[in-house]
Formats: sequence, C-alpha cells, structure tokens
Amino acid sequence: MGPAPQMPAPQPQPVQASVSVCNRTPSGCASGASFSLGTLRDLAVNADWSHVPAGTHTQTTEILEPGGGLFEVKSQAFAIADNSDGAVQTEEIVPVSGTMITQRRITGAWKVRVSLDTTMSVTQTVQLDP
Amino acid sequence: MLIRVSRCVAIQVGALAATFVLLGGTCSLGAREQVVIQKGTSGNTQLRAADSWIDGTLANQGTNHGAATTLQVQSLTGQAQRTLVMFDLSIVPNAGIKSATLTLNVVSPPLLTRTYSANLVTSFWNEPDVTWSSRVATTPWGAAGGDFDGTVASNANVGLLSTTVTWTVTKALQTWYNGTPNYGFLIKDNTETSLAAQTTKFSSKEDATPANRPTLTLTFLQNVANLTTVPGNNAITLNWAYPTPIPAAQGGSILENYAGVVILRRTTAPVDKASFPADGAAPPALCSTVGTGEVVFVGTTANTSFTDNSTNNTCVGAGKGAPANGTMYFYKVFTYDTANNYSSNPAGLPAPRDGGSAFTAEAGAMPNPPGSTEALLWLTATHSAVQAAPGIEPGSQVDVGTDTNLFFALDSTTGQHLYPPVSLGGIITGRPPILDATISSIGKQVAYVAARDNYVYAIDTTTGAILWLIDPNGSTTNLFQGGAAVQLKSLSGAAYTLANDLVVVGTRNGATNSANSVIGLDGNAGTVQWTYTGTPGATTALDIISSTPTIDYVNNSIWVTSHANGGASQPNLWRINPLNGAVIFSGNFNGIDIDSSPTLTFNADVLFVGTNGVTAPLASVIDGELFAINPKASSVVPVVSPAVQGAVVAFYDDGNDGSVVGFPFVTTTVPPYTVIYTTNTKVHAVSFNPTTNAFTRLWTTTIFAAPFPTCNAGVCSLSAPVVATSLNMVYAGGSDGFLYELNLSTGALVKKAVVDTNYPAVVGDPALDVTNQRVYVSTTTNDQRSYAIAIPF
Repeated sequence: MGPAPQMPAPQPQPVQASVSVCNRTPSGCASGASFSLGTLRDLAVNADWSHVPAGTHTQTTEILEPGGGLFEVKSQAFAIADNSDGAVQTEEIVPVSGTMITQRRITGAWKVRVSLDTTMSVTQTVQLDP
Repeated sequence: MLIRVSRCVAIQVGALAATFVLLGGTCSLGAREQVVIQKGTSGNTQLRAADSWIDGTLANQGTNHGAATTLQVQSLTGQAQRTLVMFDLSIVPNAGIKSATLTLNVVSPPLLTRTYSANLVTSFWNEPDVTWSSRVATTPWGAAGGDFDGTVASNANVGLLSTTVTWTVTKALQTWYNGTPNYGFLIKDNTETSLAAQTTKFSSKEDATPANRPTLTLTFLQNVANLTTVPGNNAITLNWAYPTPIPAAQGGSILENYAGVVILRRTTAPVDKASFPADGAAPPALCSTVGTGEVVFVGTTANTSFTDNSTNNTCVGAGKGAPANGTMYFYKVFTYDTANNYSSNPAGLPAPRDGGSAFTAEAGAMPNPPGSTEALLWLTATHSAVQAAPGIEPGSQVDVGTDTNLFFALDSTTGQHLYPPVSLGGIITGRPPILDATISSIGKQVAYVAARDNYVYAIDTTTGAILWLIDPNGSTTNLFQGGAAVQLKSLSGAAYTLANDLVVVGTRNGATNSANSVIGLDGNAGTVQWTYTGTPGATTALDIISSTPTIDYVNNSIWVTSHANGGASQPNLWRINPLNGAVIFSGNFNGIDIDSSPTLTFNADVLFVGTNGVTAPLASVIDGELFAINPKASSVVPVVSPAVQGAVVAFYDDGNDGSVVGFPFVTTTVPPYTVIYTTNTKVHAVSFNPTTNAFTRLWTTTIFAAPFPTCNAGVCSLSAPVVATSLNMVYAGGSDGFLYELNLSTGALVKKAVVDTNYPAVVGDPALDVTNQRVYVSTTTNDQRSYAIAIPF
C-alpha cells in the first residue's frame, strides 16, 4: 500500500458581504430601500459578512450624497477567531432626523458603501424622499 | 543656475551651495525637504504625540503603560503584547508627503528574528487610558487588542542584533494628509502564537535619552504660503510666498530646492482633487489640461506673483484666456522642486480619501470692473461634508469640525492650517464654541467640541492639544448632534456659584424617545457637574436634542429645545438650572419637534424659538413658526397648537415653508426687536414688541425665485442666517452652491456669491467675522472645502 494521497489544501473562500438598511426607531427597525425624511429617524446599516479570515479587521461605512460626495465616514473594528467560519454581522447607525439631511432636505439617491480593511466594498442605494 | 543631469539627479549650482541627490545608486525622485520628528530633539515637544503598549495576558488586559519608558511587542500564545505610537505632525501643517519612515530604537531584541507589522489604528485612543481592553477610559476597543486596518501598512524584521527597526509608512502619512484621521500605528508580531516568549522592547517617548525615542522621518514639499488673489477688470492677480524651510535646528534639512510653481485654473468650481501634475514629470505645458484644471502659469522661484489677464494668458478655446468679468475662477497652486516633485499626494491611496492634491494651496476670485468688492478670500479642503458651522476666534482663527472626525484650525487671514487637523473619535456636527484665554476659566484659548462618539473634547486651539475628554454618560449611543454651550464664570453674576465655566451639551440618542440627557460639565476638568435624564411623562420625557443649548445669564437658566416624540405629549422646550441641572419648567407648544436653537434678546426679556414644520405624507401639515417666550416664566408651558398661553406670549406664522432652520437671529438690542430667520426657501424679518406682545411682519424674501430661480434637483433649502448689522446685510447659504446677500432693511436680494457650483453644493450655516468683515462657510460637494468670503459682496 502506497502513501495516502495528499489532499489539496483548502482554498480560502473570498470574503463576501451583503448590506441592508432599515429605519431604526425605539420600537424597531423597518426595512426598505426608500424612506421619507419625515419619518426616518436613524438609518441602520447592517452588513452581513462571510468568510472573513481570522484576525482583527476594520469595517468602514461611507455615506455618499446623491451627487457622490462623501458625507460621513464611520468605522468599527471586529475580531474573527481562529477556526471560525468567518461570519459576522455589524450594525452602524447613521442619525438622520434633526441632522443636516432633514434640515436642508438633502433628498435623492444616497449610497452606502461598506468596505473591509479598504480592500473590498459593497454599495447599497438608499432613496430619501421629501 | 539649474542643471538637470537626468530624471533622478539634479544639481543646483549657486554661489554658495551645491546639492547632489543620488540615493544608494538607484533612481530617486528625492524631495524638497526632510524633517526628523522626535520628541526632545531639535526642540520638538511632540505635544500631541502618544505611545503605549498593551498586554493581552488575561490578568493584564486592563493595565495601562502610557507612562512607561519602553514599548513592548511580544509573541506568546495568549500573552501577546502590542505597541501603539502616534506622532504630532504640527511642524509640517501644509504639505504633500513624498516619503515617510517610522523608526523605533531597540532596547532588548527577541531571541529569534521576528517580523513586525505596522498597522493603521482606526479608532481614537488616549495614552493615559489605553489598555488591551479599552481605548479611552471605559470605552472598549471594537476588537480587544486594538482597532486597526487588517491590511498591513508595512512589515519590518527585528532580530538578535537589531538596534533599530524601520518601517516605510509613506502611504499612511499621505492618507492622513488627505483627510483620514490620524490615530497612529499599532506594531504587532505577525505571528503571536509562539510557545516561548519572543519579546522586543523599544524606547518610548518617555525614554531618558531623546535620541532613542520613536522617530518619524518625513520628506515633503510644502505648499506656497500666503496665497491671495486680487480681482481686477478682466484680470486676477495671484500673490504667494515660498514656504520657509524647516530649519536644521528643528530637525529639518533641504534635499532639493524649489524650482517654482505650477498654477491650474478652473471656471465656476474648484479644481478637483484628482487634478495634479505627476511627480517626476516636467511641469505641464501652458494651456494644457491637467484633470479639470487648465495650466495657466509655470514659473520659477523668481516669481511670487502672476496676473491672469489677456497679456499673460493667451490660451485659446472655450472658457480659456483672460478671465471674464462676472465669472468665478478657481486656482490651485503647486510648488515643485528640481526633481519635479509637486506639493500633492499621489493617486492610488486607499479609499475613501484616495489621493490627490487636496492639501495644495487654492484660491479663487471673480474679476470685476473697478469698484466692485466681491472677493473669495480663501478656500481650503476639509475632505468631507461639514454639517457644523465654523467656530471663530474673530480676527485670528477659524475652526471647522468635519464629518470624518477632524477638527481643523485655520488661519482666518490665509486659510492655511495652523496645525494638522486634530483627529477626534467622532463626527462633529455642532458649531464648536471658541473661548479666548482672557475670559475662559481654564485660562487657555479653548474650543469645546461635542462629537458623535458620545465624547466631549476640550481642545487648546493654539496647539491642537486635547486638554480633556469625557464620555459623560458612559453610553455607546448617547451621541451629540448639537454643539456645546458654555456659561462663562467671568460673565456670570453672583448667583452663579460654580467654580469654573460650565459646558452644557444635550444628547441625541435615537434609541430612546424619552431618556435623553442634558449634561453640565466643568470647563476646566471635564468632570460631570450634573445630568438631567428624561423619564416617561408629560413634563419629564426628553426626546432627542439636535440643537445647541442657549445660556441665559440674566435669568440664570439654560434653554434647551428637543424633539417631542413627533407630537404634543412630550416637552419640546426646557428651562434648566445651571447650578444643578434641575428642570425649572418644560413644556410643549405647537405640538411638534424642534431642531433649531432658541435665541435670547440682549436684555434677556424675550426668548425666540422656531419650530419644525411637518409636511406630507404625514396626516396633518404644521408649519414652522416663530414663538416669543417669556424667559422669566416659572410655570410649565401649556400644550398649545398654537395658542398664546402661559410663557408663550406670541407666535408668528408666515406661510407653509417648512421648519425654522438653525436659530433666529435678533438684530436689535432694544425693543422692538427685529428677528431674522429662515425656512426652506424664505428669509423672514419680523418685529416683536414686548410691550404689546405683538409680531409685525417687516418683509419676507423668497430665495430661489427671480432673479435667482435655480436650486439643485428641485430641492431648495436655506441655511440659518447671519446678520452684519454694521453693513445692514443678511447672509444665508443656499442648496445651489451660492451664498445670498439681502438688504436688512428691505429684504431685497442684493447679490449672490459663488461658493461652489458643483452638485449638490449645499452651503452650510455661515459664521460671521465682524473683525475681518467676512463670512466663513462650508459645503457638501465632492471636493469639500471651507471658504472665506469678503462682505459686502
């Protein structure tokens, strides 16, 4: 009997993410792709990551105005343990009610761009209506 | 005389100096200047520097080493050690970075060769507090062991014979100079799971020998200094000075000499950040295009002025040639050296601030016939939208807080950075009050900054040093949207018995509609004096606060507006005792949320409050209205919708045009009071007589109508107003990139000044500098900037 055939080393799967948004209020978080400025309190940006390698990572959430300009940047770090499946869920809160967005009525197709360690990113469009 | 020997070598032959640049026999572009930044050497105090090490050993995860003389990095399973190091870059406030290295002195090396990574820290941390578990006081890291970018900035090896370790960190410095917050580096072993400890000790900035302390070596080109424009008749003259090199006594050295400047021009909007000459390439030809800019001047160091007119600008084509009267022109001025390096940062840096010439000196002007006074005095990049109105120290300094956690201190005359922006832990959305050292109880020129990370910061605005910081609620969601208000002890009467100035902030915690807080802080120590936290109830429930509180020195009160849970069941106006935080009264009027700040008259006999408006799709439409409140009332304001009862003595409604924005502006010191306020598309002037408790309409002017009928994407909005009473003018920013000027007496639109016509340039709340006779504004376009504009236009 010869030596056992060597198994090829498993290839790391690419990091993946999905992003969704909802209207975070004290009573819950209503999902949607468009919101009225009159009712939107806090925009919650939820990212669902998979296959993130072990170690410390920083998620950057950029809020882009309808014209494409950078409006806000927020970051949060998280750690993935060794031997983990690399799945993690994050939430970033973007205040809307009472901010410049409502006071100056900056409506239109906003974009939320979520990236990991400045290497990959996922973009989600959020329509804000008057 | 300059002799170019090759692309990479240049010889400057002069009467007394000869400089030859050839590094290691390889091609190097070199740079104009180099500075070695190290605490205690060359007189460098590193006032804003910090370093520490953190220990992952379970028993030591709460131990701080900020005062240690060594920094440690260790690989050992379950007992990793990491080092944090951050430099004060104040010696180079206005520059394009060409290279950077970080060097640490080895006190004791590891037994085996190790590879250490330098990573960019991504969260604010405080040297006296930082541990493996926490970054500031009781605020934990997002990930224990430090929040950092998982992409390694640089690797370096350290072995038994190592005496120093050096990391190349050029891109890190370039991203910081392009607007990414600078939280320093985290040094860690790339493999932290050794079975036997592999430990390196480095010298910290507390090492007794200055030469052993952490070192950052920068090469860079400074921007031109004192850039100004002088508009003329179909002409604009730019003047500048070449920067003073960092002297050797401060660690500086000259690698290559300046060769001159390249000037780009663009019509009606600033030259965008991606437009800059490429390092190593000869200056672009006159009239050629670089990104969105046209090359209008290439000069030598003999030139410190350029007049853009038909004589000097012979470019041909649409929008080219001599500047036309009535059109705004923007300029970007790059210094370059004998090796053709330019005062810009390169493209290709990590997103979101991905390179470009954002920090290069800029200017703008509108040529006009003789006699016109319209002038854009300066503009400077802030790298993100700016929600907060600028804070000002009249005549000397403008402070701008950004949506990327940066606090800029700008020279009010030139717009140049007084020091690199202070990196705070959160977005700054409220105007930072700046107090002169002669009136503040802390005895320093200080800005109090309330940020979206739940912290309040006191910043010495002469240096950028953070004097204190506090998370007064210990909460992760009690962020601050409005600015801080300050009750000055030096201006308070005998009834004010607190020892120092009082800093007052209100929370915007969207997770609750009843338990927000108003907090009083000691201005000297940053300790909590008192806190009022709402509880459910018709007079006690406190919804989110978006506004800045108002200090009432006469009636010994603090006035706070808030949301009211969208209706009439909760208060939206609060009168609070500054000594203990007790609520003197609270109440709801108009049954609606309030986002604007209240304004007192000079005599503190009337308080004006503007309410929000509500429009479809909600069931009812409520208009934003202006209310007059008796600030001496001690009873609860009854619920009215709207009516004149209790402390509410009058209200004024001028049609359905949305919420009152920002704050009402009272322009007279004696009654009857003239009040200016804005709604979505209108500027309103009313007179209020406190004897008869009656409002009288003076004028209402609709902006975005003839003669200026445009606004971006059909959504029009105005900023809060400021009033220059000495000029009899009112100023408000539009959502169309213009700043509007109105006659205070008549409301007539006098003129509008171009700020930035890029879409969607929402011009924020202006700040008025009566000393320098100008206003400062910020915008929200792709190339975000702050501007100084002379008044009257």
